[in-house]
Amino acid sequence: MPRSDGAAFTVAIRKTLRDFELRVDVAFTSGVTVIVGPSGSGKTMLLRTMAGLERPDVGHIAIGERLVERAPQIHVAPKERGVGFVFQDYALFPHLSVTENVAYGLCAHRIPKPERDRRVAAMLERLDIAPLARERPRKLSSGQRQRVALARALVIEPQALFLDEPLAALDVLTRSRVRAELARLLTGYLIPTLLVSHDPADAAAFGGRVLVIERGTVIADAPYSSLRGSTQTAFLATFSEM
Amino acid sequence: MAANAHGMPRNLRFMNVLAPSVAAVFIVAGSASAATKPVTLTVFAAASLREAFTDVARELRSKDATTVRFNFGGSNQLATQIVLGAPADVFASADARQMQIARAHGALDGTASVFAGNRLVVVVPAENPAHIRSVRDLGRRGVRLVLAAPGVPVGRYARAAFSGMANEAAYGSDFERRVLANVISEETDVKAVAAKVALGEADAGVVYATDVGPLGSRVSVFGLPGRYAPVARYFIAVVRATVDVRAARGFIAFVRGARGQAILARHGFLSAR
Amino acid sequence: MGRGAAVFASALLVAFIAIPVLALALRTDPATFVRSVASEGARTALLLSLVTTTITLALALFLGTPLAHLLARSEFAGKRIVDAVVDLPIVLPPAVAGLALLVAFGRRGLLGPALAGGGIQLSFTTTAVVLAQLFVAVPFYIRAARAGFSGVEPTLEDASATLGYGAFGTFVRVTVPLALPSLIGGAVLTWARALGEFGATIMFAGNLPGVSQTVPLAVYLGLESGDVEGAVALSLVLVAVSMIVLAIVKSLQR
Repeated sequence: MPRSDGAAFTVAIRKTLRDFELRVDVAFTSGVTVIVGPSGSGKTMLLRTMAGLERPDVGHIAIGERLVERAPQIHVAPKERGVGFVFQDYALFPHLSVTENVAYGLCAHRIPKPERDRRVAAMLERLDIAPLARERPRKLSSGQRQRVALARALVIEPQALFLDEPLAALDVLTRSRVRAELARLLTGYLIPTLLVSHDPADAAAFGGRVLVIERGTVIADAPYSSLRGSTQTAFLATFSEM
Repeated sequence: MAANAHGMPRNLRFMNVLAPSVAAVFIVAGSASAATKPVTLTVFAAASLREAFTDVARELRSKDATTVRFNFGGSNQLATQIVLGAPADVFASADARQMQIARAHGALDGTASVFAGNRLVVVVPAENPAHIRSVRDLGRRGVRLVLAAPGVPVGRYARAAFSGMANEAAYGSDFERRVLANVISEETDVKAVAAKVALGEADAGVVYATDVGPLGSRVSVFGLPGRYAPVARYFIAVVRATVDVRAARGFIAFVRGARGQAILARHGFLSAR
Repeated sequence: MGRGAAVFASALLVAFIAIPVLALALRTDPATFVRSVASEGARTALLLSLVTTTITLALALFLGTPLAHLLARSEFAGKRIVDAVVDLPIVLPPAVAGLALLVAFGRRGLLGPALAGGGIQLSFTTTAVVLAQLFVAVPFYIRAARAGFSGVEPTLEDASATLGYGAFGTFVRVTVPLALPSLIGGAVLTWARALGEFGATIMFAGNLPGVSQTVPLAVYLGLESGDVEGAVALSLVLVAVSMIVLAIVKSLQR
């Protein structure tokens, strides 16, 4: 069963990047938020900073009541944050089988083998990838890899789920099908789920809250429906063209 | 792998046999250097001859346009190179054994003759870190002693000296064993021994008396007791592979003649006679 | 260049390399070879080489692996200098390396008095053999390991971190397995270079059977003292080992 602890993820940080400063002050509650913006606008950096893979210059990050970052004194390592992360290229371990990839996080958390096996099997079943259990990642299609990456992130029962451009690696034909599947699947998880994309069509598919970032700054934070018609920037205007 | 150190009797015999033939070679070679064409000779010479032979070459060049190139090294190393076909004209060895090895392999032209002698000495770094005051101290535990490898003439002579001293009550029967236990390195030629002492890496080393001069004030010297210290005898011969027998004989004649002997004496070598 | 000329030049060069090695093999016969290799001097040298190169390799792995990872993954002030320093022994003549070690760690060397104060004497010891080998050989491992670590996608390490492993766990479970062919290749080359080390060893560690006379020194000293058979036999052992090393490296590159 999907978990539903629904702790809020609050972020108020500043981080200097090469061309501009990332400034974000926002909170995420359960459900899917699509973070959308042009390439190089700081979306991925925001996810990585929230996951603990990067450090902000100043600011704080909290998961529920738990402070995981207060730059520069407090920095909880990624392994302690309990964030499921699906990377853009999926980052599956090429030397491990599908089963071993999915079991990886459970090994890290020292889950006993019987329970580990049970949870991995259930997750593979749930994502329809059980027949691939013994395969190595390089034998899989892009869509299959995405499911394995998702299974690997979800099986540790994370406090939040981050997906960085999960559809970018797919060709046009499979993208719309996978997008619909993903939308259906993610709505079952009542945890803050952040999906980064440069494609406004993804915001349309998930339909919920949309955060628009340009040059490191949040320029819009609203339900998808209310963003249509906005012409504040050239990027926002593309929402109306769909 | 390394040659046995206890070969003295045989070599003494070899030298006795060789000595009478020396004069004859000397006479034949003496008048042979009238050539006017500039020649280049390659001389393989024991490392201890470096300074003296370099002076010899300088004088030869100014005298009759003979250019001499040298390959200095341990005599055993040179003998091996000559036996394996190295293009040498003259071989000057620091002992009879290596000369005999070259001759046994048919690598020599004619016989070898004695042309110089040398004495063994103990050198210690100027600051004398092991506080060595006599040869007896070489047997003290913890002294870092450097010798040439047993196959190198000076290494063989040194071991023979320590072996002889062990028969003397003043040193004690285990003197040889104690000294050899202190050896921290077996060097490839006498100059390498001298360098290790001069660098201060060794507490003491056994070299020839003639090696001390070039080291200057970096070392202090102890003589080995005359009774046990064998006198090194240097032999010289034409190599069969020579391209110019006359020039090679001319070089040998010069070394054995008055000028050559004077140069050698100036560098501290003993007379051949 | 015409094809014929190219073939001729190639054949010439290959023959030039193959003939000396072949000549070594032809210089001996099985009985002489076995007798020479089984002699006490040869066995002492082989054992010393085995022991010292094993220690050298262990040190290279233990100390070189963190450095290689640092060079592959981190940016820091002076990285280019560190990079150049680490590569230096590869191009340095071994005799220079030996002299450098002597004037650094020798009795009168830069650190000699400090070491002597601690009761440590390095030159002319088996430790000196290991240090000489490490000096000339460790760059080969660092280079290979660094290339191997650089080839591992950083996001794989990030993924491991988000899944619950710290830096060390990630290193052991992701980075090392993925860089393993490079690590093994580098280790084998380092070991082979250490085994062949001659110049730095004879200068810094001297030459004494059982203490510092490794196989290459035994080859040289054996030849010097007229024991050509012994020198040839030990050389053939080194040739055989070198061929095995090459086979391992080639199979890893595939």
